Amino acid sequence: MTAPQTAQMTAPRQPMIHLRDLRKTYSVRQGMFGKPKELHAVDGLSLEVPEGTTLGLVGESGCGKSTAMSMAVGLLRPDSGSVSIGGHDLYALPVAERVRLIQPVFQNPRAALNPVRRIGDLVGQPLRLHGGRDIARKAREMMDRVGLPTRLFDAYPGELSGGQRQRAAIARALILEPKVLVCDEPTSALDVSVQAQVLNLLLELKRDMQLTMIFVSHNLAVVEHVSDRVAVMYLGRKVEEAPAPALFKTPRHPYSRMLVGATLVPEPGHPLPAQPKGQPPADPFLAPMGCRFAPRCAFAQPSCAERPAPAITEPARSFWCHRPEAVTA
Amino acid sequence: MTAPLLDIDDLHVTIPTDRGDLHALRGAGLRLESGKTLCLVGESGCGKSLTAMSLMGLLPRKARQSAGRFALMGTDYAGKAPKAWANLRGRDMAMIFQDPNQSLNPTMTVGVQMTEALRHFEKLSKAQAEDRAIAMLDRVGIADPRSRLGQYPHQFSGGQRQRLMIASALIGRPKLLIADEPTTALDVTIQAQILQVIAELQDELGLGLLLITHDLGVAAAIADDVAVMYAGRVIETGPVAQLFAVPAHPYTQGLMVAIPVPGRTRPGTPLPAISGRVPGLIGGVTGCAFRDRCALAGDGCASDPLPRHAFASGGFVECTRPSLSETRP
Repeated sequence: MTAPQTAQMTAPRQPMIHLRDLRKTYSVRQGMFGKPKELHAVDGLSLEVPEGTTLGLVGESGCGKSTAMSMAVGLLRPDSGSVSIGGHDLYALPVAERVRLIQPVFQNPRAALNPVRRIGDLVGQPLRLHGGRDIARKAREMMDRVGLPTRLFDAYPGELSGGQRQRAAIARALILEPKVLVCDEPTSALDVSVQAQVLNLLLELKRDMQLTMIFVSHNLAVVEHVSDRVAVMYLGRKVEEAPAPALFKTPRHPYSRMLVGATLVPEPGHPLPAQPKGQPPADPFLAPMGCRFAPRCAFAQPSCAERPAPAITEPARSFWCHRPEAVTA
Repeated sequence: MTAPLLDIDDLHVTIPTDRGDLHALRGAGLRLESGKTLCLVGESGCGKSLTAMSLMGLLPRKARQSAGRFALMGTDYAGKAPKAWANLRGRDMAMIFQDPNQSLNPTMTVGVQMTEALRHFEKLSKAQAEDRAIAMLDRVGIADPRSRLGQYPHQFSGGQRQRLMIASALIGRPKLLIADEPTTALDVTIQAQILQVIAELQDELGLGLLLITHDLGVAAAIADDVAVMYAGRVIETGPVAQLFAVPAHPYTQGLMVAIPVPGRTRPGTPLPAISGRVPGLIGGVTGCAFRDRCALAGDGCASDPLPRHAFASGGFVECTRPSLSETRP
């Protein structure tokens, strides 16, 4: 996929975070006496994010985005595959070093912040756990950095608004100065006026701190706004990756096209997006081991379900499809 | 001219709390014609769900309610015994909620839950009621409805459960359907399908639809009229095309620009966020509740009643800005 280095004036930027062929399979029992079945939650996912850029990760519930991100931050061990950050093998490092490389921000700050601890404590907690000095001063500085008034240092999470709580969660994630920030639906629980504030903050922090980010969301408009590149996942696999504007303007994979087409724009006059009817729900157990999207795909032929789809690479874009010419026609 | 299907005016709901009375609705009003869709939009806490609860007679027991007019199909129930209004519920009006999991009883079969209201109101036999349920399930797109009547909610997917809710709500052939964030918990491709089902049934049955959403994309896609709520009042209404083209209230304008829109906002640039936060409604508010966050606020904004400017094209805005009449026909 990468061009030969000799062909370029400068060497391509090394990825700051590199997920290589991550796999995670859960054994799921359906019903009390059912036989356990294998659920391939993440099935050979590879992602690279260059330093200082943001990769958006989109896909519907159950596509494996959150499982993949748990593995990326080291909260979950993959069955196989590796994660390297800044050239370090994440799983070979002790936790104390891992936390200085990558930190998560979750969807619901109310659940992420202990309600009986004060904001200053919560923001400074990673420093305390991992041997920092000057904790209170640094916590104040970080609160200031994310736009949290330092008078809230002694407040409890319950006294903050939703937006302020998410700022506190971001401050806590950044206090160890990690290289990579993983944001899993960071604004989904927020109102739109507050969402704008948090998105602006993330964009500003990325620029000022040279942060590398993975931004997971089901809201495509938000992902387009904050991301340099976007990867689309379907049932554990990446189906397309492209620069954000290209992905939203000319999605190539049938599933990307379906997702982009189903997004409602806040402008009256557009008809409801047409959806093929009677399609089966995306049941991971029924998905074929070939192209997993084949049962829902309008362009699929029986053979699509038999073999994994080949990679189609174009300048700056890859997607995985058996019948690219039928899709574009 | 026939009376509107739903005509609510000067609706107040007050909820006593430990810290004083919470004026959750402060004179809200709505008008909806048969066969039309009114979208009620606004951010959390603005009173949109409480309005729905008040319409369905599902307010918390300690809440106090009063209304200038509370009319369905020309009959004004303001000041009448709550029982008279309660008799309309489930027959002339029905409601679907955001999370079908919380509305469906996990221990009852789908068939029993769906036919409960029918057997109560229309005194149908079990077989007759089940025939109606089967026809309705088929209509909302659930395959093999006869065999699925005996199944439990957990045997349905998330999108199918919302279809079940729609079928259950419409089985009694109501005149008014209230839908509170019916697609918020669903994936985007499923959202489009569910909105499609609702829109088709609305046409067939001549339903008036009151749809509550925080998603301006949903409102733009299916509304005839939009009402914007802020801090317990409807601050602006109008036909969807006019309201989106020329939002008149500074809050509506702020909402419209705070969301990223592909093709309109420039990715990576700061979004115009609305600063500040919604005022607390304990003890009540005088004047415009938005004035502390409004760039245009002046002296006249602090006193009641606020001037209401009606537009020739329908709808109104409550704002002291004198130039309003020039913004919208």
